[in-house]
Amino acid sequence: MTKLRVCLISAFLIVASVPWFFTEFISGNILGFPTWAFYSLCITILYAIVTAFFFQRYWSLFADNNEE
Amino acid sequence: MQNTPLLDTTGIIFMGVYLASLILIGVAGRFARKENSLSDFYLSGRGMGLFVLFLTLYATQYSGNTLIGMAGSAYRQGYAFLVSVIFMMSVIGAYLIYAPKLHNRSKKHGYITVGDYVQHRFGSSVLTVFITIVCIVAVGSYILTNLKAIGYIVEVSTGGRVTFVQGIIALTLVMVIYETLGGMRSVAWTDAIQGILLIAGCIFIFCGIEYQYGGISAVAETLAVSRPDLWQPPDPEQKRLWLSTIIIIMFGISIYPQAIQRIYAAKDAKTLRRSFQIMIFMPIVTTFFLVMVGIVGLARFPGLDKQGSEEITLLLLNDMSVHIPGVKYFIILFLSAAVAAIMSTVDSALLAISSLFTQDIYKRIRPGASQSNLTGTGKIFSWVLMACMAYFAVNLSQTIWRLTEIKLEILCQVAPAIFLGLHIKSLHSRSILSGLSIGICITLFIMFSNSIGLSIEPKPWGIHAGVWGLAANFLTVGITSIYKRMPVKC
Repeated sequence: MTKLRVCLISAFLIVASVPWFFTEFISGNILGFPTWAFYSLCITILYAIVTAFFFQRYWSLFADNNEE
Repeated sequence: MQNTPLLDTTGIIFMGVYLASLILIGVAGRFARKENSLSDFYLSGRGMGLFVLFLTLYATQYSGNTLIGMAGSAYRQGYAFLVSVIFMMSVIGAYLIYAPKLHNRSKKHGYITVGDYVQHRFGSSVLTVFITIVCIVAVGSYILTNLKAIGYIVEVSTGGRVTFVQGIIALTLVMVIYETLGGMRSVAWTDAIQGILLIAGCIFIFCGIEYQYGGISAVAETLAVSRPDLWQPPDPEQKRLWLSTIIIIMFGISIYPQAIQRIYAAKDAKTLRRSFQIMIFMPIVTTFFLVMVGIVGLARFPGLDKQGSEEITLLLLNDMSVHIPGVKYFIILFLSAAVAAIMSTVDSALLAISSLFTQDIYKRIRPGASQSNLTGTGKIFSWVLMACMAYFAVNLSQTIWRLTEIKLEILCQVAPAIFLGLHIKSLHSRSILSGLSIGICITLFIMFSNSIGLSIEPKPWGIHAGVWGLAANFLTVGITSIYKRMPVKC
C-alpha cells in the first residue's frame, strides 16, 4: 500500500459520508435517524475504524524519511 | 439571557476551588522544570506520555463551543449537523499524513514551532515570517472568540453577580498565571483535568437525556410531525457545503500551531500514534452526544430563537433537575466542563502564539539571546498579549468580529507547506509562497467582495471561500513546481 492509496481511501470515505444519492424523502427512521442521516453515520464510524487501522499499519510508511 | 444564577453557593465554591487548583498546578509545573529553555517551557521537555498527551490533544481540540455551540447548532440545523462528527474525525485523519514525519524531524532537528520546520525545510525567512504571522492572526482571533464565550458563561452562571468583564479578567489572570509559571507542563496537566471534565460532562448529559427523554428514538416521531423539514435529505448545495465544511475544518484545525506543538512534545512516535488512535473515536462520545442533545432539545423546547438555542443544554439540564434529584450537581459539572473546555483551548493557543513570537520573530531580532532570556521574553509577551486580548474581547466592535470568522479559511492556506512540503523534496519555497499568497487573496476577495460593491456570494456554489482559495493554492503550487522543472531552452 502506498501513501497515495491510503490518502485516496481516506478521501473516498470522507466524500462518501455525504449523502449524495439521497434525494427524496424516505418515510420511517432507523434507530431514530432519517435514512440518509443513518447512512452518513455508518460511513463516519467506518472512517474512524479504517483510520485507526491506518495509524496502526501505515504510520511508518508516512514517517519514512526517504522523500519522494 | 437568564438572571437567575445557574450556580448556587456550592457551585460557585466548586468553581473557585477548581480555578485555585489550576494555579497550584502551575506552581507544580514550575518546580518540575528541568531546565530554563524554550524546549522545556514550550514542549515540556519533549517527554509527554500517553495519558497527558491524549488528554491535552483532546482538550485543546474541543473548546467551549463544543458543549454549548454544537448542541445549539444541532438544534437549529437538525440531523444535517451530523457533519460535525466526521469533520472532527477528519482532523485526526489529516494528522496521519504529516504528523509521523514531522514528529521525527522535530526530534532530530529540535523544532519548537511550525516556523522552525518551515525555515529548516524551505530556507526562506520571508516564507517563515509570513506563515508565522498568519498563524498568530488566526490563533489570536481564536483566543478572542473564546474569551468572549467565557465571559458570557460566567455571567450567566452567576446570574450577573460576576459580570462579563470581571469573568474575562479573572479567568484570563488565572490562565496567564499558571501558564507563565509552568509553561507546557502546566498547560498539559490542567488540560488533563479539563479533558476529563469535558468527557464526563458529555457522557453525563447524554445519559441524562436518554434516561429522562428516551433519547433520539423517542423524539423521532415528535420531530417527524413538528419538523418534517429535518427529515428531508440535504439539497445539492447543502451537500456541497457539507463537504466544503469537512475540507476547511480538516485542513484548518489539523495545522493549528498548538496541535503541532503537541506533536513535537510527544515522548515518542508510539505514544503519539496511540494518542491519535484514541482521538479518532472521541467525536463519537463528544460531538455526536452533543448533537443528540441538540436534537432532543428541539423536540422538548421547540421554537427557540438563535440566542435561546445556544442555551439548549442548560435548558435541558434545568428541566431534568425538576424530575431527577441530584441533576443540579450535573449543572455544576457541565458549567465547570464548559469553562474548562474554553480554558484548555485558550491556554494552548496562548502558549502557541507566545512560542511563535519568541522563536520565529524575537529570536531573529536578537539571535544571540540566551535560552533563559528567550523564555522570559515569551512569558512577558504572554502577559501583554492576554491583556490586549481581554481588552478586545470586551471592546471590539461588531464589524471587526467578522475577522474572527475567517481564521480557519486563512489558516488552512498554510496546509500545502506542511502536507506537501514534508513529502515532496523538490518543492521550492517560491511555489509555497506563491500558493499561500494567491490562496489568501482569493479567500479574502470572495469574503469581502460585497464590501467593494461586487455581488459574489460568501460561499459560491455552497463552497467556503477558503476552500476556493485552497484549491487555487494547491493548483498554484503544482503549476509553479512543474514550471520550475521544465528545461530552459538556450
